[in-house]
Amino acid sequence: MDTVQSLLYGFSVSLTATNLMYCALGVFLGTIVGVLPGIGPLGGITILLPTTFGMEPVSAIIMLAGIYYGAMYGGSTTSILVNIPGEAASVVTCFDGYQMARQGRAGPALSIAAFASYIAGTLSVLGLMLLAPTLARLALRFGPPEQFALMVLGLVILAYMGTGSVLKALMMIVLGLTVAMVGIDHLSGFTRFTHGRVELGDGVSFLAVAMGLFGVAEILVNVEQKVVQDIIKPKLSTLLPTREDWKRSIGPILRGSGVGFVIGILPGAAHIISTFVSYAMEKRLSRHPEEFGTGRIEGVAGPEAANNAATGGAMIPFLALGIPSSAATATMMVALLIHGVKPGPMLMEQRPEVFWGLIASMYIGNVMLLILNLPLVGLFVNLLRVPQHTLFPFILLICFVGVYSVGLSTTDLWIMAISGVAGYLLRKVGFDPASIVLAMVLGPMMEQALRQGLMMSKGEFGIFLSRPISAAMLAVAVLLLVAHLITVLRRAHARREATTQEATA
Amino acid sequence: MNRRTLTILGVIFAVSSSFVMDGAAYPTKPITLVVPFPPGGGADTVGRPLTSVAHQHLGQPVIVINKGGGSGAVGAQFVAASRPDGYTILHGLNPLTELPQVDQMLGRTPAFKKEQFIPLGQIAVTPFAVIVNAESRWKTFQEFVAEARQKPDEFQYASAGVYSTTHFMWEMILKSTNTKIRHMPTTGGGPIMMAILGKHVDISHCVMPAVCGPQVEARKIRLLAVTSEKRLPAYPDVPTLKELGYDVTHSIWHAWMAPAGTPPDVVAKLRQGLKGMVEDEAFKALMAKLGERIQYMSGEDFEKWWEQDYQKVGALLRQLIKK
Repeated sequence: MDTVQSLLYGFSVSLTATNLMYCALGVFLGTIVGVLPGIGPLGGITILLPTTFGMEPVSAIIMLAGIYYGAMYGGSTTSILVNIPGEAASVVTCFDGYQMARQGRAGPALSIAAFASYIAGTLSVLGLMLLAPTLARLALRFGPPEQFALMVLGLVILAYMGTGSVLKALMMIVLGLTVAMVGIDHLSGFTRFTHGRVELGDGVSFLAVAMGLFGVAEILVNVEQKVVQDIIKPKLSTLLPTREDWKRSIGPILRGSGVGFVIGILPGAAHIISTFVSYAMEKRLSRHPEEFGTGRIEGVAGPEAANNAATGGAMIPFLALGIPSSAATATMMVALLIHGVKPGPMLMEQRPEVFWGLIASMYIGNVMLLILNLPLVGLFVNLLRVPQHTLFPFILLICFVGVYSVGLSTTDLWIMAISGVAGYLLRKVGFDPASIVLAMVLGPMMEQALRQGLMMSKGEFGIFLSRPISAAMLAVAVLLLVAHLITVLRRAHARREATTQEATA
Repeated sequence: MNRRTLTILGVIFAVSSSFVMDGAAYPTKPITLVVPFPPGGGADTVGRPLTSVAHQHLGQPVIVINKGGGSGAVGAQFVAASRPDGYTILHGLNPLTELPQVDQMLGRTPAFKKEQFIPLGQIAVTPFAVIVNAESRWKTFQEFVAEARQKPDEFQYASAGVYSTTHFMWEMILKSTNTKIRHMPTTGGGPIMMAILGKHVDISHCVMPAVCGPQVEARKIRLLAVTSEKRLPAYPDVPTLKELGYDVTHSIWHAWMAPAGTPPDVVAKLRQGLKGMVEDEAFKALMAKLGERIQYMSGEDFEKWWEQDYQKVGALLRQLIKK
């Protein structure tokens, strides 16, 4: 009852004309930064931070949060239309979304992404509202050993994901881990593989690599082919998902919401990881795993739900503990601190109007985003009608501006260009670049967690087994591997028996 | 790869290598302030509010860009190498003192040198607090020191990274308290607070009061000491390390820097403008809300202070690295 009353109070705060306007402004800007490749929510939030100094704290946080979760809606657009992730968290959406677009189903792909985002966004606010304090306490138990175990589990799940040759997937993982090793090692202070270049001190930009491998490579592959542009003749009916689409998507959306929300709570690149996990899970559960990557709508619905749910999860450590887990939430924290509002355990008691006003605004904002994004589907689909010789240079331009705007570094442009060529060549010889990207995200976090864990235990590996959460996760990872091994062996056995029978017969 | 592919490639590489900056007479266009850390860090907390009052005092707005990486080295090097025309300045912090000396001592080529910067003035200083989890058995810093002396290498502290300014601060604390505690480097203030709240380390620090404040109010952490010269007005009960008999003071300083070679009249204008900005009532009000302590020092004074501090820190770093 208490929650309901507080929530009603929150709506009374967020439904004022001023706050509604800031909410609309926030989600609108969020959609834009999401659609534009490169420019992410962080850039949008930082640029608008000084304008919030003169606002009420509630309005400030409502607007900035709107940018944050709004960006997750927009991110899928370019992934689906032109195979360029609009956001790091939309890399996975490229796999099946772009294939759907090539089959003339860009409309359903875009609209299921919007619906998935809406459902997941709303569910994660619900979770945030009801479970924040409990989950915040749980997040605190995730020390370095638990984080390491989680990464191991993540990599095992990743191994399940690869289509085709396991060996090729492993090679790509190793390549990704190697690239991720470049830069300053925070635990020893030494620089690794930078060849004396200060720009590489912070490592190779993940975003630049992803945009090169997917976007630039895509353009390079495409200019070689004479594509007859009969891709789409959109009628309104074909813009929306069919009943069959819905039937296939609802499970992935709900599971993606759960996965994204839980992973979002944990520090690190939660948005990105959650999409990979959701994709792997759907592929595993599907009766047609081999069709993933060829335009399955589940491959769009699940990950798009996951990255939106992750924003709700990521707000928990920030609001309930006062510890921002990403630069975006850190900037939102500054916006609150500047008004004397302190996020953390006391926020709900001291400034209920801020906490509940924000929660209520997130419900409203998600509705606004759905209304905003669905009509855009028709507009964006028409983009595909633009002739390639006009569209491609424009996309390249946006890629360059986007990547440059994030790090203001020409080195990143080079990295993107080189990754583009690498991605083109890898595609030509049948390698899947997705594993590179995830390995680049997980690798450094895993290494750091492992070494920090060993520092805690003075070098005893036992620490990973003596702590219950980490032991449980490692056990699941081992079980998955064993289960996989058994199926492989059984299949081999069956095949052998079949052949021996043939031979004796 | 056919010809069209090659043409596109040509365009890509041409664009990558064609970025050029533009220059003109002073101050006719916005000034760029480089914050050498990613958005959302402590430098932003001071830098961004300050730029909100820039226009009145400099006649042009100041635009903040975050150029993080290498513990601040990337942004610093960028400014050091940029055209000294007063349009690109740096939000400088302690790593300007520490990084070049650490690089030198480890036999690496420093990314930048102290001589490449002209201080424009100090804006604020941010002290640290030594903290433990509120459920910790140590009620005072002396209790911790006493137990740590008995059990060397038993306890663990978290820093913001190897050779970060807080690693260096902790080594000073260990030396003056004659204790041995294991080091666990993390990547910043957020992870440190997680480690303390989750009891993954025994003791650490946090920035006063922005990061500490909410946790203290919620009784999640306990402040054992502060690293400032004097007790902080907001926390009169918390002793300084100096009072406790340990000669350690350490604070983050925020000072704007222009690249060496900037014309003297431009430097004078920037110094004058910065003074006006720091003393602006609107800026003071923002800082008061954030709990940041404004401590203005003119460019000339800071230059002298910095020279001394540079030598002092260098001597301590040498001991630390030799170890």
